[in-house]
Amino acid sequence: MATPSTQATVKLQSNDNVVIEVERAIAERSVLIKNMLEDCGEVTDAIPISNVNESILRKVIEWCEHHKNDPVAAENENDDSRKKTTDIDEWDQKFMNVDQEMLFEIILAANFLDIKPLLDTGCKTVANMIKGKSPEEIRKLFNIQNDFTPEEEEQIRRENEWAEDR
Amino acid sequence: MSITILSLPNELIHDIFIRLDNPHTYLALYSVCHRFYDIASHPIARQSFTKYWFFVYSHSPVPLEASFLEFCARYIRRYCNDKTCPRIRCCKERKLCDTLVEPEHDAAAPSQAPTSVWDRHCALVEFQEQEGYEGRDISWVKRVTDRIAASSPAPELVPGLKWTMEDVILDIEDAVIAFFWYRTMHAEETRVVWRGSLRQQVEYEEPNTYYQLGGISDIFDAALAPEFFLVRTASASRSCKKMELAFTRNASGLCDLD
Repeated sequence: MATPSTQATVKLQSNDNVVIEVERAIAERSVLIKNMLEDCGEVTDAIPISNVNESILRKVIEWCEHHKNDPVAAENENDDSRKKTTDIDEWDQKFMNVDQEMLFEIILAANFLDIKPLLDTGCKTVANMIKGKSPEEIRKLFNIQNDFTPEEEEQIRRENEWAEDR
Repeated sequence: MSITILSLPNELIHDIFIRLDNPHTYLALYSVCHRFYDIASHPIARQSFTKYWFFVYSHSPVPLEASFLEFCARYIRRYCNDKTCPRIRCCKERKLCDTLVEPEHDAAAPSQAPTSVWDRHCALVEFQEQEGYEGRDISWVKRVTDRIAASSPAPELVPGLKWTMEDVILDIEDAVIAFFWYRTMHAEETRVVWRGSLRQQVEYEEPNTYYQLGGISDIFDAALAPEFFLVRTASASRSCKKMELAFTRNASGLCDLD
């Protein structure tokens, strides 16, 4: 009988019913899949990834493939070696250079599949887009409607007056 | 249906917000729309942002400076509203030593020694006098500390319980203070621009700028008691030497507290 660790590949099924076969080690960058495989032992059927479509799933797999040899981040917050900066490595920057819709889909997929470093990179990418922008510029960036009344806007302005750079 | 930032659940939007690099941009989120306001202005989000912000900066190229800055921020938050000890300069009179708990410097916990809160506290006590802040705009200190005093009461000290500076929870005001400090300290050099990255700024600094941080308490004192500030800049250069010594010693792990 094969032990779970000898299974070399797993099949993942996107929500538009495309089955993609990937190395087990790569799929296991997803904590969700890793736990699933640990719980179920050998899985021969395709694992349904119900929240993610094919193009996003392929994109996420591409990321996992590139990062398959990264050390798995320590759970422990006190680990000083854990890189916590606003920097994003060059490959990831290129990887994240996609339209906003795809970027948010990647973030949603990373969250669903529980791939923390990918989620972190995605969030940093969006944070970098917001960097240095005014409220109006942020609205324009994300195509958000201003749903404040002028009175509310004035109230927030007064609320934040203490921090004004003057 | 196209996916936008508003398609994300609140907790993911929160995860994005806390990774911003500038407290002013964080505050700008309040004015974007109701949903952003609700997420960003929540105390837990503000505190996570601040925690992350200081965490990132304390890993910046000048780690000691940043962690000292964080310590000073805690210090001010703790004491700016404390009726029994309303001024930071009280630490000069050693009153605070009773409330801060000296860590046990035993062999089992060597990592605690060199840059512990206690050491930094002592450094701050030692280094209360610093010249060079005359004529700089310090009105923001008053504004921000007033805001802290109004928005959060100082944490209660429970008699008999151990209490350390780490127990002070930092909030957005503290990130704003730290941000202004960077700029005030380096006013003659590049001003930190609104959209610029502080990390970039830090890389250009002289290695020894951390002494200037000792001046923070003076800025604070000056905001509260200008007359006191004016008469106390005399022995600054002597303190500077002492401070340098203290940090060199701490950095090499050979700290001894006297």
